[in-house]
Amino acid sequence: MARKLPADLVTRLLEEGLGPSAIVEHLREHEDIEVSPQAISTFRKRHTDVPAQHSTRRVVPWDVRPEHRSSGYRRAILAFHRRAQGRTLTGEERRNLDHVERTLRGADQVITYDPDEGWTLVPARPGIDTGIIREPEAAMTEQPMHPTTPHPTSAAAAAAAGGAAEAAGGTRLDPWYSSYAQRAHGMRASEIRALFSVANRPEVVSLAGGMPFIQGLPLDVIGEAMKRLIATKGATALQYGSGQGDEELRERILEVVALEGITNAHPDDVVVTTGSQQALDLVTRIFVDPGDVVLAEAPSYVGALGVFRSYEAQVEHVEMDAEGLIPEALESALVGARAAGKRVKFLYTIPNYHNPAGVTLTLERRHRVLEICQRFGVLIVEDNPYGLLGFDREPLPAMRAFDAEGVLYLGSFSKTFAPGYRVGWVIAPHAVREKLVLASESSILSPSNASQMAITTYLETCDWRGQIKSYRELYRERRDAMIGALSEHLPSATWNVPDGGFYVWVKLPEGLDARSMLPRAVTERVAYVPGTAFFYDGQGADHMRLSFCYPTPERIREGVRRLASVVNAEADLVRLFGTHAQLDNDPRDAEYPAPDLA
Amino acid sequence: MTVPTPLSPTNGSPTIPDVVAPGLADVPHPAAARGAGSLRVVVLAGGLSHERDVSLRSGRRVAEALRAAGVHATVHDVDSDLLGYLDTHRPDVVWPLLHGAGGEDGSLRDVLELTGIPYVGTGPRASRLAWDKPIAKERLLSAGLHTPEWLTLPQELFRDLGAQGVLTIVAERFGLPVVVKPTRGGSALGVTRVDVADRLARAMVDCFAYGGNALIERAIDGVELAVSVIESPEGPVALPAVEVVVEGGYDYDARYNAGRVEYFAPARLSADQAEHVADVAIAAHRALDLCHLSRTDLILQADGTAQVLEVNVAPGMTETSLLPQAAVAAGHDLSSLYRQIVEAAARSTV
Repeated sequence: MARKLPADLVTRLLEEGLGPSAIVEHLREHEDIEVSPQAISTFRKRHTDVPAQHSTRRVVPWDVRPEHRSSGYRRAILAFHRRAQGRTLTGEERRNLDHVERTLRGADQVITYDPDEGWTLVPARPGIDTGIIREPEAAMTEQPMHPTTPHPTSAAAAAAAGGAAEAAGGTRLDPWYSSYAQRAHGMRASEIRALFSVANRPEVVSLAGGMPFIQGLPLDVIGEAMKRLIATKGATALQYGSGQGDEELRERILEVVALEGITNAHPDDVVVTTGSQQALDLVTRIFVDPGDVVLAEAPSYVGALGVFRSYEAQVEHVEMDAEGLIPEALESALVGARAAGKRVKFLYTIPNYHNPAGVTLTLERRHRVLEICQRFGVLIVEDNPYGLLGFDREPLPAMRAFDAEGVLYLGSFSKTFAPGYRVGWVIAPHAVREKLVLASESSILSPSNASQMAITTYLETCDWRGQIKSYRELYRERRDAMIGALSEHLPSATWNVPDGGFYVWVKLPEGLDARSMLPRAVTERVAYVPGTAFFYDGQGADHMRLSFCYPTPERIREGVRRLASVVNAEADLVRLFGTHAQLDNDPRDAEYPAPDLA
Repeated sequence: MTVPTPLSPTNGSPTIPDVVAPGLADVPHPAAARGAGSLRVVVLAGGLSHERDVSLRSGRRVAEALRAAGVHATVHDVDSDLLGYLDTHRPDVVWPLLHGAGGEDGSLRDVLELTGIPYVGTGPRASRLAWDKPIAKERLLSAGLHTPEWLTLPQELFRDLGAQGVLTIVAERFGLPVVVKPTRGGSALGVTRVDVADRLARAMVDCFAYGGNALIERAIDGVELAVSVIESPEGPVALPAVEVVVEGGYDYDARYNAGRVEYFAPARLSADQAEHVADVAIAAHRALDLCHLSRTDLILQADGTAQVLEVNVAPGMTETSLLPQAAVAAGHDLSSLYRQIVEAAARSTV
């Protein structure tokens, strides 16, 4: 007991994923040291950054010689384990693991180790070598590293309790916890997300959500039209529809996209989806294998990042400036990916009134982005929900207008009409469209007939162009209110002035962290979305997204005034302590408000 | 260990839907004259605190369980409509399930007192004292209970004395590891365990985002237990202790992400240990003058000392919360138990 812990060895075993009781056994067998699991646990907390865990099986099941420890194979095994635990990998870990996995997959091999021969690859035995390593024989048969009790967690707890009771299995309130797919482990309760639940209370000025101002619609007129629709065409509206979507609506959609220069599409090229969110899901499903690269602007739409993450894509952000995506940055990202042997599946871009950055890709750059992607053979996914909501000018032509083969165009009625119908669409070249239809049928059979026919009726019987015009004026007034209030109350921050859409992207004064400031904002009755939500890799804490679509101008001014007091109080605190808060910096899926929060 | 005896026979009448029938609300219904089946309860949930989300989930759970026991339960947010609603509908009992400021600090209970409608839980004055962690700890000590040593440091103090100086003396003289938490609030929001001195500043900033006062408490190793207390006609009784085993720490995610935590209900304790922690929880409930129900979170150290971390006036009642788990472990049907709590509240002021 009196002997000092061998710090280097214990740290390494912890890093290899061993739990306290397994380390105790290792020290007893190999080092002749007797310690308690509690001592290991205390050592871990005091001297390492390794998270607590209770694995009894070593992640790297060999005693690796010091000269072999820096191997990429060893790092890949550790990263493989971290990923399996649902932890986030660093860029370097991910790249290395990606490379190793591709090598192994290509040759159907797994990693093994011998102190004399070092790291080698051997053929994977079907059904036996299921991970990326071949377990040593001893571990397969005798499993000497496993303690006797089947419940290591309970054993550790019982030991901590002074061995008062026999170890028995505890209850997990979710009996399926160990059954989830790897990709579900990032879906976790987040205190940041919980804070948004106050956003719908009238006392709170929410600058967080992206809900359009539905009160601006002529609801009585729409109500009459819907009544007529069900009375006259109910038998069709309430029946299953086609997987590709209602033909009449697809024709109407072409009238809408013609406003943004897409005049070379055919109704057959259109697939109707349940919001353009489903289009994103379908496109990612048919194109992306785990580990494939998707390029997206920095920052990018949080809902798209969630989809990419759920298909285990690797997102690489491309810088943008006041004119949108920077073509040179795009080209160097593509060159870099090619040099690293990665497969880039598509560029995801929001060219108009970007969410969250608020900027628009200039016409000149649209041509350059198209040229670059054509040259590298990379598909463009053009997501355009806000294109018709410009304040000061007519819309620029969509990229799809110039390239029918290399661009998948995503559109939506959610921002220009009403998100409650959940109707969006994708315009795709014929072969891609075939796959999209099959993929969509396999997930939803068909988009809602009732919703589609409602939209068709609206487009036929209501002045939808006039409605968009009135939305543009309404949102322009709100944008002006927000920019005016920011200039007045928050001069220490910087922001862009969007000429359309819903959002202002605000950079906080030096040293402030938008996530750690959010509880204070809730206390002050104002809400926003921290910038980290819009990055794949945890950047963005120095930004926040403010939306001006839902609150009235008066409420916007009040909200910004409150926000200013939050920022000032937080700046005081940061000055006082010389640091912002330490939050768990795993990027999460759910650090943004639910869609029904204003 | 005893479990509460039923306060009245349970009744298996069918679930009553969550609507107030028009006209019904206007008929006066003095609680004493009414049959058990028509008990009407308004569950208060939501509010504007950091724990709104948890509160809404607690409220829905309790209302559902009450309906299953034949109680007419509706959920209402704490907003500008509330007083008018209570005045119009005059429920027999109000059950405030609000976590965080307003709900637990006693202020809402002051107003409930003024409405004259009986409510579940502790009165305003005792709530106020229990809600403030340093005050509650003083009272626990006075009652002869153990609670980890602590310091209470307001943000202004750091401004007046210089942050670095204060942090240094805390790290060097008070010593690490410590747990930094807001003096008020729950659900582990703003709570950080600090093992090394250079992480102290960040923990303070995180804590001060939730409130102006920080509690710095010595971190205690041992078995994490939660002991719920419910009052019966014979006085407060403890439900079986629930033991919490979690990788990493019982943080917000662990509390509400079903599956990450392993619960032992009842906890893996010897009979002596179980009795001891039950006694401690009842003593804490009494020391703080709590009413109807409470939950005491404590750590049982290897030497057998039970260190009380905090006592909750409005314990969480969500599907992953500890009080309902303890009740189930004690063999209670939640619907009947909640109904008994409501009936006890209705009687207490009639």
